[in-house]
Amino acid sequence: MTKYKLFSWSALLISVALLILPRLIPICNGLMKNGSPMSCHYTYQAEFIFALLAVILASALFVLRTEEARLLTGFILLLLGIIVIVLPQPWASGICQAGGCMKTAFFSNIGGGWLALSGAGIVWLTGRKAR
Amino acid sequence: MTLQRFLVAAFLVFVLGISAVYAGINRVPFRQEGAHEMHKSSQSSVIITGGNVSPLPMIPNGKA
Repeated sequence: MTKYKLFSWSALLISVALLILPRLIPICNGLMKNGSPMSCHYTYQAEFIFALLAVILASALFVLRTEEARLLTGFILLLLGIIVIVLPQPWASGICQAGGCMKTAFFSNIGGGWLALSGAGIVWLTGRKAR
Repeated sequence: MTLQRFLVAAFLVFVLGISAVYAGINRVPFRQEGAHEMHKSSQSSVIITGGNVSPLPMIPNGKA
């Protein structure tokens, strides 16, 4: 298996893991006094959509043939990994201060970091070849 | 797999994912804690009308 395939599979697997993470490690499922969901609900709805995009881009790595296209896809995966880490931060979308979603955020931060590293790896590999 | 086929498959996956968000199957269901007080109307008719309830009954002919 080439290094490119290794990074591509790594990005795909972690994207799928991020997609199903709130089912495996649930966020807070209670409602606030006014009947609306907590902020972690909205954060993880957004995370799901970004993870869905990451799954599609990571699968595209197996279809794309040109170096430029692979480079751009890897770069967007790197940005998506950073978005996954940024979203639960209190200055972005935020999560509850003391709730079950803290555990989910811990694992989604690890997943986001892994996704960003996979994207960076693809950028590094294809950028080296392109030169 | 050609790029065109991949794009069709990716679009289907995306629509499926958005449908999952709409249906709420991407997360655990919300906890339902019995009857919520917040769903019942706690306002009486006096509060709704701002306390300006006419003491005289309304007569259909318009004569009080």
